[in-house]
Amino acid sequence: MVINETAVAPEAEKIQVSQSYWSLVWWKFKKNRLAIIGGIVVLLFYVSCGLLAEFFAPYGLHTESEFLEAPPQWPRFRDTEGRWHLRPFIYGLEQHINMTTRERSYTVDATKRYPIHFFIKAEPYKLFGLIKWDRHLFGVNPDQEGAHVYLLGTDRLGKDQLSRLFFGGRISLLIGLTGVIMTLFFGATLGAISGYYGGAIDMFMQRATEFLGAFPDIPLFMALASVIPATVSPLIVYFLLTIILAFVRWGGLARQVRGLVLSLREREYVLAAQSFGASDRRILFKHLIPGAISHIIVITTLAIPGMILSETALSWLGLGIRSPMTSWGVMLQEGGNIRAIRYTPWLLIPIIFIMLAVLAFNMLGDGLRDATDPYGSR
Amino acid sequence: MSENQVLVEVKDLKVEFDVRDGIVKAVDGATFGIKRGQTMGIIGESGCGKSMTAKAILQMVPKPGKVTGGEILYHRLIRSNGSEKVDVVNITELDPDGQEIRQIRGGEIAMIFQEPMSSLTPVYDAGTHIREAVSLHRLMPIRKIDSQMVETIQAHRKVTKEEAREIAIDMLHKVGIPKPEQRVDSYPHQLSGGQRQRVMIAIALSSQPAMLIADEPTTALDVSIEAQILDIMRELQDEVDMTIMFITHNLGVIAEMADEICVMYMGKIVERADVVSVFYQPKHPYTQALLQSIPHIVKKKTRERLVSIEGMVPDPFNLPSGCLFHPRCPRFMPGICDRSQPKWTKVEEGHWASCFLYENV
Repeated sequence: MVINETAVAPEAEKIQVSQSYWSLVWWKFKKNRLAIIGGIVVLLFYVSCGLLAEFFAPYGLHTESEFLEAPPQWPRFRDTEGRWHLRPFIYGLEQHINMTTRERSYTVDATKRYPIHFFIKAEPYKLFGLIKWDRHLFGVNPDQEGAHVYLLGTDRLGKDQLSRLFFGGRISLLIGLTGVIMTLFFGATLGAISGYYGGAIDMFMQRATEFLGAFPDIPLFMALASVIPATVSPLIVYFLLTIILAFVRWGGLARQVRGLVLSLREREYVLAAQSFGASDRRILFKHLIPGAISHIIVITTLAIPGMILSETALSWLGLGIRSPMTSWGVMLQEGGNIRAIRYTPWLLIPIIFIMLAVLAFNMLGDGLRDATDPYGSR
Repeated sequence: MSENQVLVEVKDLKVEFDVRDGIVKAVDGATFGIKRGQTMGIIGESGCGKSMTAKAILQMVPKPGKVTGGEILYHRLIRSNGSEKVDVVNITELDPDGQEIRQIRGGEIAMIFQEPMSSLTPVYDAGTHIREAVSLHRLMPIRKIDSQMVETIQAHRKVTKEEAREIAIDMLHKVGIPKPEQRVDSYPHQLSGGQRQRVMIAIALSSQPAMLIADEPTTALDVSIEAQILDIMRELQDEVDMTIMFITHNLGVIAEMADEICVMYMGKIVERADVVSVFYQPKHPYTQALLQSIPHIVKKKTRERLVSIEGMVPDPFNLPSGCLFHPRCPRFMPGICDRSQPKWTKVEEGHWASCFLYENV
């Protein structure tokens, strides 16, 4: 067929490389330094806690010692005699118990010096629950008599606080992620259906989300959590808890997705898709939700910290994760009394980690929000 | 295939919108037929029911509108083993969300819209759009040879991904997009308005429909691009023997494109004739008034004001009695035009109008 010569548009010659939407988003995201930092911190958290907690933690989750409520130990390079050492080391702790008050106190025992080794062979574990390994990022030589390292102190049962932070972070961060994925599933689907069909369906869904939204959070959590029997395994408790969190939180996301779909469905391309014989389901999932996906990603990223905090609050109240499973909330439960604040303040260290994670997520989410609108100017 | 075979027959179509202030008759008794391979032009002012007629053909009347009467007969041509059979489908009786109408939409009757800027989903590239239409409708013939009868039986299968991409590139080439191998991966925001409308046409034609409904396809484009798009539509029509229903309010465009024209006013078809008759011997006073309102480049008196149609389009909730055009009509006959509605009258061979001026001829 002969093409009309004038049909060759001249401007088409100039643009050679097609930039997809996501590469434009990445360009803009890269420029935002705070968001990059947030992203890196989030990534570090998920790698160190979520994937490789066993490797990063010097001890296992349930390893107990006779050092109960020991204060943090500082790694040193210079010993008491003023000599410098290339390899960091810690001094041993000596436990004293005042027999009249039964108060426990610790002093540093400078005669015992335990050098810290990296990639050391210690307690064996299974990576990802599959691969047998026994290397840890750091630790003291387990063959050395009485060697111990508690960089962030120990808890009431003598478990290493740093190791527990890694393992607890796994639960806290994954509950945020899985909870948000479930919220996304409920919220995006229901919101999109509500927005696309409108009418009575929309009316019903909106009233349902309003009802959920108007219900006070904590009593609702408590009511739902009390349904979980005390005898079920901690793993099931974990899943039920994510479902509860998702159930309470999907309303907000559903509303935002509904609003987006409501505006998108009036676009001509929906009419065009319909005129080419696309079904409702196809229009909804192939033409409307992809248009809203960048918003959905931002909403979910910003929702994860809320999930983490909810989990922490619930566990702190004793309604969420239960021992022996550990999350940051469970750890805080131990530190959440006046005695801990007075005598063992290092039990409050999880707060720093929670704040760091929440801040990092917020920074990442803000950056994504700005980046997903690459055509808009600042 | 005989020349006069009808493809789509619209009989006494009524589309009504039940809104709070009453019922609006968007289309009120439209009757016309479109022959195979023909281009039917539909002209009229904004809101006269042109687009609603087109949407009714695809069962896509938006809520709260409803087809309340009449029928739309689609004469589907079924080819099997060399013989042709016509199967008549009444579109108004199909479920608007059903499987059958979805096969007709896009597969047999495709539509392109006024706004190429927003008719493409922004998250997909041009190729994805075409591939979607292709994978929804187009089937590839497979030849099976039965060993005993030595007879060729045609069966059909879905198009594979690679074939769909090939078709997409081929279609982009046909609609005159330069470097179709590259453009197939371009997103809508990287294409100009004219290119987007070309992509729309490519999507519409990719599933080889029997009819293309073009709802003001060039209104949003500038004049030079408009000419290119019209050229492409005509060339492709000749090539694949397709029927076009062309909706516009641009009389110049319709004169160039259509074989036959329906003039609509307030949901009714007031005149129907071939393109030459409509432009040179318009019968209905409304058509005459419309044609007078076209600006002429060469005019005797250059400072003469452009002629406009007197009065306003009537309020749809408060329609005039009798002929709907009588309050604005220069040839208004008191006592006749405001009493009863004019009948659909054959004025000449192939030329119909609904006006009392011709009823006693």
